[in-house]
Amino acid sequence: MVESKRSKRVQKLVTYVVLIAFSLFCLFPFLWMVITALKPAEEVRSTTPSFFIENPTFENFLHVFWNTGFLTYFKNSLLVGVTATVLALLFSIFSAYALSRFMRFKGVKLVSVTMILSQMVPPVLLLVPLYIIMMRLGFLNSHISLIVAYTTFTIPLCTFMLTSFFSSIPIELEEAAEIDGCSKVGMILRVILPISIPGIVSTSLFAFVNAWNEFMFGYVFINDDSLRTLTPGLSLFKGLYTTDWGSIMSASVMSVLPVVILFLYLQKFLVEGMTAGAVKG
Amino acid sequence: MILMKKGLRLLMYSVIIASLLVGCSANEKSVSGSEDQIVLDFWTAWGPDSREEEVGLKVIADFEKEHPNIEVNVQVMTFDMLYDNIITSINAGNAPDISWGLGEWFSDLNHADALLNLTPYYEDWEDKDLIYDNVIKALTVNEELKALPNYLGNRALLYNKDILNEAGLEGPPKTWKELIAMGPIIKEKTGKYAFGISGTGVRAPQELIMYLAQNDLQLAVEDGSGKFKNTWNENPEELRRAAEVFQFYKTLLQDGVIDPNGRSWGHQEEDTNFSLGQYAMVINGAWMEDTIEEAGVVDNLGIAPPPENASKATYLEISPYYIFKDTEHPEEAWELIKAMLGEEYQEGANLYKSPRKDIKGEGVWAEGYDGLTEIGAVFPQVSLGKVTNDMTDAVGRVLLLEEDPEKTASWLGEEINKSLEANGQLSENAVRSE
Amino acid sequence: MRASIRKDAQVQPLSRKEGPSRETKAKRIAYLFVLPVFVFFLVIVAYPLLSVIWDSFHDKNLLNTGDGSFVGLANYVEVIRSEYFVQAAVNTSIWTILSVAGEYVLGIIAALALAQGIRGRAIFRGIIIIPWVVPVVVAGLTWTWMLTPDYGVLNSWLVKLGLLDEPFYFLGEPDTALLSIIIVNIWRSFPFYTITLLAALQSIPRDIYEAAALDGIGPIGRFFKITLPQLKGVSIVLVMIHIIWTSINFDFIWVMTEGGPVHSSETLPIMIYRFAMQELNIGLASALASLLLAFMIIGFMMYYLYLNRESDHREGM
Repeated sequence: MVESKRSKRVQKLVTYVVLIAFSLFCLFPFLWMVITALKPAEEVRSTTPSFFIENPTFENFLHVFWNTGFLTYFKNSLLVGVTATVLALLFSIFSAYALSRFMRFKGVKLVSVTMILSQMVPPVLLLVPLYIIMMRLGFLNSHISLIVAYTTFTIPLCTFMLTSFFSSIPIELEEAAEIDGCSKVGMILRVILPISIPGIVSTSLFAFVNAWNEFMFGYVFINDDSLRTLTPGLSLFKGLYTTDWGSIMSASVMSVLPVVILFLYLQKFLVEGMTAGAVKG
Repeated sequence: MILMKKGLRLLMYSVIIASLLVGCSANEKSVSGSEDQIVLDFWTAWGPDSREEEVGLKVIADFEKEHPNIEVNVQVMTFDMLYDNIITSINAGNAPDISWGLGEWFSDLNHADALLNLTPYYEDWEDKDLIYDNVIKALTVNEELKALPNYLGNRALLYNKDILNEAGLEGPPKTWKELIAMGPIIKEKTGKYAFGISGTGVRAPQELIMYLAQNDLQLAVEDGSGKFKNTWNENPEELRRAAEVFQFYKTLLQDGVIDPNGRSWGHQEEDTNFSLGQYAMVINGAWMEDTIEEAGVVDNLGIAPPPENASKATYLEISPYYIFKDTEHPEEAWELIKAMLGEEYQEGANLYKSPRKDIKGEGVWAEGYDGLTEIGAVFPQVSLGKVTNDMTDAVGRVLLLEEDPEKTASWLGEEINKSLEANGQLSENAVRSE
Repeated sequence: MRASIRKDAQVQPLSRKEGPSRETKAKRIAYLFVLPVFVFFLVIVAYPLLSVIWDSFHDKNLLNTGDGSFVGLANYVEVIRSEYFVQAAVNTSIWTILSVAGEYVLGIIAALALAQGIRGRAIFRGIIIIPWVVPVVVAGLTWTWMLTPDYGVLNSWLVKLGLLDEPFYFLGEPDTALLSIIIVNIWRSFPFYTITLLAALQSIPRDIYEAAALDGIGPIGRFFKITLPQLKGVSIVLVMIHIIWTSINFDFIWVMTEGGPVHSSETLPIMIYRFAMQELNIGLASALASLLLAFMIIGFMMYYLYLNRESDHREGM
């Protein structure tokens, strides 16, 4: 109202320019991934790479899909990612609730500090002792080793995200529920969780992406090709198929696409969840 | 109280879920391990769609048919991953039964007491005389045979005759000097680089040890009591020759003999680019036959001994199969190794690089690599984990950081001795290389 | 809705009256809720961590050439004296500072743009999140491919535009390897900032802006006077977390250069891995890891003290 229409229009223009620039920056590697994946080997190896594909082909995709371990890796990643997410969420909900309501107890505070400290421990430094622990527990070369590791390493952030979310829920709401005869657990399930759905969705997305992206543990804990997850599987592609960029890129496309779609579908929750968390936190 | 119970129940649920998950994995394992079925874990670094893989899988399938109680669990990895996984698994006590690996790991694995003594099996083997004696000797420590050869990776000079003809050159270079002189000519006439090197990965130290040997140098000299020492810094003449090797690398780059990207090439880039006819010459192993044929670009190939400087030398790679000491089925593992050393696999996959005297092949590949074993240099039997890294660094220091070659030579000599000292293998005595 | 509940609570106030038994019960529940998490941490983080610290004082080698004896601070001395330590420490700082700064700047610009009420912002928001979903390995592979000298699209363009005379091997040259990885890291990580900051931006009450606009403060002035101060809390948390995550990151650099060429992109975590897995020297790897951990804890304590002083200061006022 105060500002002139002109300056508003300029502002809008600038906004669009900025957003388009960002979109290009974010999308370009993808675009190139897809283009490379659709090119036959001779064109991939052209010294003057172009956007135009002379003879587009699905050969690379078919090759990766049928002749490599891609499908197995994908399935394994999905299994490990989903299980770790569910477990991390399960544990985080309760610890986050405790953190948001019972910080006055020393034990709870201790757990909170432990979690902050654990964020500072480079996983790479725990690699060898963890390997030995997993071996002693008989988890090595099985998905449990990864599930346990991913769950543990995502719990802190999940807990913190949920804690800030739960803290924004007025305590009176619970007290009212308690009067209605709800137990604590029942109250969490019936009162807290339903109003925290955006927070839970964004937290689980976070946990899932973390597990889906992890590389090092997957690389070291799993030797068996039938149990290998996607990221170490893809890195194997690079070593083995170093010059076959068409295959590497089509594997990349196939590993990224499902998660991107999931994210685009759920992104509304992500921002909502973060917003609610940010108000208080 | 009700509250507590519900909380407990939830905890129990999670415990049950967790234990179910644990149970699942336990089941998976028992399925493959139980009955009277023996499972052999066999790790390998076959290239994808390579002949090794094709023939290897067939030989293993036949092996399983012949031994219905044995199942071979083959895991294909890259060499890097193979190494990482072997090290961690030995440390955790769950090494595979058999693994293909690099010869550079031999001393480390032997030092860790991770390898099975194969001598008793070998003595009873009817084909034992078919394996080259010097190869068996190289894999024997304290009269115990600790590995068997998969193939012999001698290195020869491969040259693309078409490119050389186009540049008006009559034949391949016989010395470093001739090679360097050809660089600008080839570049000018054909637009292609004359030569290829690998500056990173497993190939870089293998090439460096060869050039050192061509200049009469050893990485470390044994003092007669099983201890070693690098002598370059004690002997000005040796240091000069070592510096000359690094100067050679530098000249290759400065005179445009090699593609500047070769500084960062791994073995895959080196092999692929040669097989695609993108540069004229490379010092490489007989596995290139498969790579070149598959690419189908280079059809006029010549093979010659590597160019020499102070003396004729090449790198003799003994690529071993390791059988690990912790295996529960040494007999069966030995049977499998025998199958991999059998005629079918060796003729199918290792025709020109077999460790068997009776398998030689014919034609340009057989002739090209003939007689190179005698001039082959091998790595000394010391822990090489850090040494090979330092060798790669040394090449990088000269080519990328443009360090003075003499400084690099002196540095590498020192680092080798440091590494020997850290592993308790450094000789106290003054030793001289002959 | 909130108001009505509050009213209910007022009608029947019940806290504090029931005394210690209620408090004990609450305590029991609280402990029960955090117990599983605590057990996880004991097994997966605390125990291995202690064993790392223990190993750092011992002569331990993965392939048992070390005799496992107590060596005091020898491992620490060797680590600090080792040829690439200083360079790796400097690289770690460069890697962390440039990454986090770049991510924050891009993150806030994108968040501001997305917070404007324009058409199609949901689509833009979706596009901008994408890099964050890409696994590090995939991001590394794709950018490596784009940066390849012979067939890479970026090199080809730079040459066409006349910015380069001939293709340049960005990941293969000591001067540019680390910087290239930093750019890729920024590309992948900034969306997380954008999302978080966008959320915070949307919770800033509109009336503050309107009041400022009435006072005649322009858009830029509003950004510095209102937006930035309002984002301070979120920003500090965001930056702190990312400083930690970035400095201990391993896989980005490992996938793209493995710390090379000639250690030029080697950071401390890469060095730990090299000590452990290539030189097999667990003693050295553990000593370096403990050092890194100590740096972190010191940094964190300083931050904590600063926060405390800040709040004391505020309370004092």
